[in-house]
Amino acid sequence: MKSAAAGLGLLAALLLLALLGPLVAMDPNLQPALGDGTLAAPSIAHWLGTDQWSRDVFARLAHGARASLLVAVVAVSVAALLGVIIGLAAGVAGPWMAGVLRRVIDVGLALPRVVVLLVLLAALGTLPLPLFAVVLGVTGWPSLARLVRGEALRLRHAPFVAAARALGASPVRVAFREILPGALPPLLVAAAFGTADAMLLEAGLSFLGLGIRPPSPSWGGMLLEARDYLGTAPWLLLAPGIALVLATATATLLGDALRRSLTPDQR
Amino acid sequence: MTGWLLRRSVDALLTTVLATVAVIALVHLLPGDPLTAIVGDRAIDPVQRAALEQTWGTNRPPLDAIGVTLSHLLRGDLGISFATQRPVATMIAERIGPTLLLGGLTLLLTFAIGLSLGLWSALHPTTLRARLIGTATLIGYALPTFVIGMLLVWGLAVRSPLLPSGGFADPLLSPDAGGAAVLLDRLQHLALPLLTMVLATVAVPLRQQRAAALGTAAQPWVLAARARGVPQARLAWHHVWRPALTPIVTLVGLWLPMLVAGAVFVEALFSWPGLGSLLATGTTQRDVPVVIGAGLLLVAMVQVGSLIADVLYHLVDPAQRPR
Repeated sequence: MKSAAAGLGLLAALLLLALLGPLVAMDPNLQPALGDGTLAAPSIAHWLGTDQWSRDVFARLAHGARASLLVAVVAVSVAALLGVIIGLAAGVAGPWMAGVLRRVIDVGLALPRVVVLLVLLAALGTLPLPLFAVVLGVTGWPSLARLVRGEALRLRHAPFVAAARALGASPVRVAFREILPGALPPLLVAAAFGTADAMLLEAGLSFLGLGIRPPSPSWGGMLLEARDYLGTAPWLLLAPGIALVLATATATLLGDALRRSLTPDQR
Repeated sequence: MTGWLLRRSVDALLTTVLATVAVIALVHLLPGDPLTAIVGDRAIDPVQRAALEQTWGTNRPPLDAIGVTLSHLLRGDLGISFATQRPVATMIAERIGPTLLLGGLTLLLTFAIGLSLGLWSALHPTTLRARLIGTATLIGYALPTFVIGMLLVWGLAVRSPLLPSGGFADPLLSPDAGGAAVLLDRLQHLALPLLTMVLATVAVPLRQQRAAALGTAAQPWVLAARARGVPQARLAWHHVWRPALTPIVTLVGLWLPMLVAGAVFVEALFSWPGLGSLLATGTTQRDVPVVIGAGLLLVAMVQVGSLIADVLYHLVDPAQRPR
């Protein structure tokens, strides 16, 4: 209960920042006082100070929140879609196909996600934001597919599934209408944790200069720029750093709460 | 045991080979011409361009290119780097040492610290110190690796300049400095990346070990041992820790990919000359041969690591020991 309340509270704060923040904040690329306002400490005019180009840190943080949430949600949706399709197929297919798909999932799990992402980004080059989110999602399917496959194997001989088969339901219908609903609770939990992973990966890649690219504001990119001003402007590190921690904590807390309420037997 | 080990090794090898084929096929089937990354927007003589395409084989149809790359790979030829024009195999060879040093020490320290603190917390679950340890590790777990690293740089390299903020060695160190001075310099450069990696990863083994040890500490044999006066240290290691070791060994295998991810970001942040930073800079420069080479080596290392973990698991758990 505690983690659910904390998670929901944090989620509300985060959504507020992402949805309303950009409305009250100034243009994140505006340079109001390039002459003397660079690296200004937090003040009334600039709540979280300004960076080396005199840009308002709060404005960049709010716009960055929007990008970060958007990328994470798209990435997790793509990963869940692929994971469900591959996992269900591996769970209900005939023995030969199931063996092939099991091997496919094993190979997917054997490849560390960061390595695959870097290979993809090296081959594809600079990507627009939505495509970047999709690429991030495409690399997230193996663990979800393994989970869905496990659930499908557990459920495929259940009486209600056998009944549906006996009534002449097609394999696709059995997979999506009979088995998938049973696999949803653990999938939702995994998706919540996956959102935290996606946010961390997005920030990490932006930190390497490979995700959301400057001048577009992103938390990882802000951290990268903060690196050169650690001695003079620590707020450049603290603002996006704390935001990132709170955002991933939100997803983790919600995932925890979901796990407690949806899958009480799997603790 | 031999039969099982053979089957498990063949399985690991097959997975590695399939993963290699998958990565190479992916790169060649994706749209986008890696040559553009090198040439950029510069106007280039078509003859020169054709020569470049010939050199890197980017003009072949995808299926052909996949076959050629794989056959080169079989002969140990990883190709030539787009960015440095040097053989990828040489570039990678230079990077293995630092990555193994940082990764190996991280693994060792993380598990040594995680297991002992986890066991201690399980034996003294109600003390303030155990709760502090729990909270501290949770914070370390919640913080992204590169944020931990930057906080450490801020605190220990910038505000109070105790340690170097990056690199592998001091380039200004006189070449005829004694062995002790060189060792100290290396250790100083190792300190911050290593501390970052340990802080970022220690929570997982610690919490697992505490949970497992809490489970065994409640067993009747522990009570019986305590009743017949077994000394505290022997009780802790022999009666509580030994049966709680099995789930931890499984963890090593699951935990290796995390080490790889950490290595990429930590090595990049601290300019540590390892495979992870090579992968990161290679991607920034769209140096596809380097990225494939370094990436596949990391994949193979994870496979070897989890194979070793599996063998350990079977050695540690008598019930799992195959006959």
